[in-house]
Amino acid sequence: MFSTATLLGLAGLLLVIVTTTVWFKRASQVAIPDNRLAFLLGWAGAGVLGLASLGGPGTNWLSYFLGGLSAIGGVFFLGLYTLRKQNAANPIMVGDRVPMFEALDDQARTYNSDALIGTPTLFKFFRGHW
Amino acid sequence: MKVVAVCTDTPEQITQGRGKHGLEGTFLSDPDLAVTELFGLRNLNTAVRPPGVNGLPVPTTLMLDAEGVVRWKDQSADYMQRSDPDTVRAALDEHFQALQ
Repeated sequence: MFSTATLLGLAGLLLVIVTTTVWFKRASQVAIPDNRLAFLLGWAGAGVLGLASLGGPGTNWLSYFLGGLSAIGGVFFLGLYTLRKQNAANPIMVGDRVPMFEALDDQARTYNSDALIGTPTLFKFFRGHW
Repeated sequence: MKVVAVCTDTPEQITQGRGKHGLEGTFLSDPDLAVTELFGLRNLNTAVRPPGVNGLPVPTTLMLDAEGVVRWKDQSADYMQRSDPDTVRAALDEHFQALQ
């Protein structure tokens, strides 16, 4: 039979896998809920179970492996979550005129900001395809 | 009304993304964040960033009038939240009449 430490590690690893899978599934649907307590508890719980496994009765190579992954996974995703805040030092505001710029479009043609004049435009900044 | 989007991808990556998502409009490549910087939207506080890029744009939606003046802006302090399509649509309905 598995030792207590192994079972704790296994439980923690399952918890971090389930929590993270649900998170990224919701993220891909742009449907992460405003209340994210369940996710935070999931990652924190995985971290605690992992640490409990590492110090628990019946440690062996399997429990160290499972507990280690669980602790690292839980702490890593919890840490990633805390880095979500973003800010720009001096962002463009309502009432500002857009700056003049040139950039390449997806056909590698040069686009000049003069083209923005004459028609209302919905102008969006994305992070990237990922 | 035109739609113009800016992102850090290369023109090739944008072409691939457009095919995948079926997007229309003008897509501009800003791999060195030069345009993003001009708009003051560079965010240096990022956990993840593409290789070789110093920071990332703060995801932002702007509505420009025919003179190129910002009439509406939607931005989040949390990169996990984006402009909700319904919010943008409501703003279009509200402001676009005035912009025509």
